[in-house]
Amino acid sequence: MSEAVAGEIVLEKLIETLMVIAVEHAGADRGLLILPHGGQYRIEAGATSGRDGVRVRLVETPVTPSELPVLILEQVIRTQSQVILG
Amino acid sequence: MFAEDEYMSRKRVRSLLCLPLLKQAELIGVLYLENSLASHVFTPARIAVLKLLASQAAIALENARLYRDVAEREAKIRRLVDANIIGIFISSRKGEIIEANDAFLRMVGYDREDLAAGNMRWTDLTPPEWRASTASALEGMDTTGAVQPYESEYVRKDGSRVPVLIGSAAFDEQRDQVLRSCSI
Repeated sequence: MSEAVAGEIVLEKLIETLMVIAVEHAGADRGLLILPHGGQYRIEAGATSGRDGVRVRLVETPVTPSELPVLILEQVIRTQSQVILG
Repeated sequence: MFAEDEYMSRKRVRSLLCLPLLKQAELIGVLYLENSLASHVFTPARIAVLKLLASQAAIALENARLYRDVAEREAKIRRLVDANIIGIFISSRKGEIIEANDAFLRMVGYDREDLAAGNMRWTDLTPPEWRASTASALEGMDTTGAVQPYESEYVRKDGSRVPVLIGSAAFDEQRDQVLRSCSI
């Protein structure tokens, strides 16, 4: 196994753990991790809470209005402060 | 406030939390959480813990990313060395050859055992009459970390000579190690 692949696995494990803990602890039924990638933000991982626990998928998809409220994300990125609704 | 948002008007999100992951005022990423069944899920107590988690996660994510970048860069260098398109060796400032690819070993007629035994010294490869010109070619090394390719000869293991064009660059930050490319 090359070291680049090993580095990739470290990052993937970390993202999975983060998503499970965050969704479980917050009481969310869905969570997304958005990370910068080459000057743009993209969805790195998605987590959904179901009957058999939290399932995490590593997706690497672009940020689209069908996935999350883009306006809120843009505000968080711009202001670097949280948004809470409900 | 976000009523005009496409997602918000289509989906029924009852609770929403969008949290920046910050590391020393630098945005590392964003954590987005929602609950479509219950409102007021994200209580101040839960948010406080999430923030703590988020700041730890930002550090860990950044470290993992740096590790990955370094590993990728190393892999690239490794591929270049192993491709054996040109002879490449890494030597210490004192002259010991620490690493060499097959192309270089073939060029100078040594094998892996010679290298492993520490029998190869870069300074011994250079014949006496080429040492002065080599030294002057390497003068810029300390200031710029690299020098223009220069011509020389190397003494092969069997004593014969091989003409080489050598490029040199500092291989580490302390400039204790030098990477050299050699072509005939």
